Amino acid sequence: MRDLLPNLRRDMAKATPLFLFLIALVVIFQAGTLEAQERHERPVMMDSNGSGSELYVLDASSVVHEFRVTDDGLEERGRISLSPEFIAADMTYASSGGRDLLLIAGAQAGQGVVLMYSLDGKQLKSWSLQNVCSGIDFGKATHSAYVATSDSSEIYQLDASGSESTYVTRIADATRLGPLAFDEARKEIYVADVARGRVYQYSITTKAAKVLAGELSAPTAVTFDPESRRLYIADPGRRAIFTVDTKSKNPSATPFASDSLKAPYGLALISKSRIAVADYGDSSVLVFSSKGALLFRTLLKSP
Amino acid sequence: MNLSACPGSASRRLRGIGALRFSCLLMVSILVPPFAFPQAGNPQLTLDSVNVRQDGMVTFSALPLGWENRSDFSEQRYILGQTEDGVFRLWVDIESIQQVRFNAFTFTCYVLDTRTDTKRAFKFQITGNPTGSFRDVPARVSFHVKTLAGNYGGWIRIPVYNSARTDLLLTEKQTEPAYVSVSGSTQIRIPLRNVTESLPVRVTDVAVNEDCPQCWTRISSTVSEKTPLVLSPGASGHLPIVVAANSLPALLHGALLIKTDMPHDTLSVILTYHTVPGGAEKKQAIPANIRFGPGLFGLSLALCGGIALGLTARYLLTGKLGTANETALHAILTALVLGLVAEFVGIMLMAYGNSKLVLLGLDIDPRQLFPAFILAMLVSGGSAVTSWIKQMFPKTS
Repeated sequence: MRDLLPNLRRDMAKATPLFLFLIALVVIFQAGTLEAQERHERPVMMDSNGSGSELYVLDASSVVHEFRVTDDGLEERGRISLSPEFIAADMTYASSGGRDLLLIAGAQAGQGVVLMYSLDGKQLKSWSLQNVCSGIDFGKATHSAYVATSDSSEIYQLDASGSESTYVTRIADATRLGPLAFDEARKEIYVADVARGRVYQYSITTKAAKVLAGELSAPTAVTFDPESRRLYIADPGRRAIFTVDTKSKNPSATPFASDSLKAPYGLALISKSRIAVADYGDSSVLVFSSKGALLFRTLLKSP
Repeated sequence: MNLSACPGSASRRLRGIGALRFSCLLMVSILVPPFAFPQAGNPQLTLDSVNVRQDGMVTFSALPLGWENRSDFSEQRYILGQTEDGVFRLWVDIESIQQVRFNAFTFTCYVLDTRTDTKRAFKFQITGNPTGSFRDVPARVSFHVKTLAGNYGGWIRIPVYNSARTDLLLTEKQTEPAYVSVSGSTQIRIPLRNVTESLPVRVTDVAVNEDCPQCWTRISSTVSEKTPLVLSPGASGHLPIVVAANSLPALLHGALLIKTDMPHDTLSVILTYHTVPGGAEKKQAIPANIRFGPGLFGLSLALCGGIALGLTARYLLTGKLGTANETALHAILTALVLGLVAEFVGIMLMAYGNSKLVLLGLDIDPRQLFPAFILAMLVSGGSAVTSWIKQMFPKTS
């Protein structure tokens, strides 16, 4: 018994390297080896930083993909995951107070919500509205966003630096307002009626609304080019992109691009007067020239 | 303009009237869109709003797209409705049904006048706008075809959709975690039930998020867009998912969770599915509680049991626990350490080395309870026990 403790100590000292080796092995093999499966996500909506080369695409899994648009493709630079409870309807890039932001309009628990995100994925602010938000665009000069509601056909103005929403108008004829685009220079709002296949033009100055374009099936995205003063409209019902010359005395929707589109859900104007299209049906982002020629297509991959 | 005031002969006047009429017609045809009034031969189509079981409503808008020369309306691809007098047929193209954002859906349909030229049909793009909380369901929709000759009513049974309603699949609540072996692949089956009454549901994609990513080497499903899982209305089925645990992390992750109803990991199975035909893609997350087996506690018990049996057998066969001058405690501790090392090396070889462990001609997986027990018994029993077993079970081959 007297020799037991020293013997044990000696044996344990001998066994220590072995145990250390075993522990090291355990640590090494803790590393995950889960097989990665490539999947494709469906893009739902998008916007760019003005007419720049940064493109933000929200997919059906509530993830915002941040892309840099090159001459022949998209380079993914980051992702922002939104809360699964939030149902996004439209998004816009915003620049306010020297910060680059994303404003995303939608609904949460049946109530309209607009969320403000920084580009590093932090939620900075939110606005609550009584009705379900369906469209949004931002005016850089006025630091305010205009928001359409689908269940009340109203338009509100949000002050990016404040927390209040101001009632602007109600489009009386509309059935279900959807996406919205803002012409800041002329203070005009273009808002689509998804149910009736129309786009309304509302003048903030004259407080008058009129039908800008009909003959659409279900316009689900609009974007305005301030240089050419053309409005681009995505219509997945007709599987095409249309354009309207807002300078025209008799404006009408004319086809811009339809080849190879399955379900164009989103639109954005990007650098070099190119148009990016989120094709939900093809899980891809397509980029067209200003003349409507397809330049390239990029599949949207999930993490 | 006062025509009688115009100079010239009657024939000139008539020509003038003809030219005026023509220019008026031309003006009207330029200014008025083709769908504003039913022109000669151009039918107008309207679909009445439909109440869906007092849970909601669908309103429709129709966009006329013009004549198309076609009469090939097969029953596989088109749903047929007709006016009550059978004059007009309405063909809805099932393959054209498409869900769009803002909870709307569209489809293409054709109106065919059976009295006249049946080789061409007038094409419309219909947009459906649902409100309320109903689930996707076929509904009887009344429609009207208006021409200069009159107004004709009829009905058609078409599916109506509501993408706001997402709970079309139900799963049973797990009473206990699903067992996943730490060795090899295991198939877990998730029970699903299609709760729609009249439309099949097609599961087209399965994605899995795990709480412990390092615990897994493989999580996959055979269900995909090309090989979907189709559930008939009201029917139940099982979604198969093949998983393979990463042995050592899985064992360690569940080491302290001994209670058998406590999950070692929870998989969030995200299903992508839609109703057939043409329903909106919906995502539904189903949690699946997993328990790795055998657990580290079970393996430790098997190891200790094997060591105890091996030492006992050795003592019975040789009259000693260890070598000649070895104390009993030293022999027990040596057996424990060697058993542990053998088990550990065995697990590593099997899990990461793609090796086989063959003892006494038997292919042994030390990640299972009984093989772990045998391995520990042989290691602690030493050559005495091994020789005895060989004598007891001589090789027959």
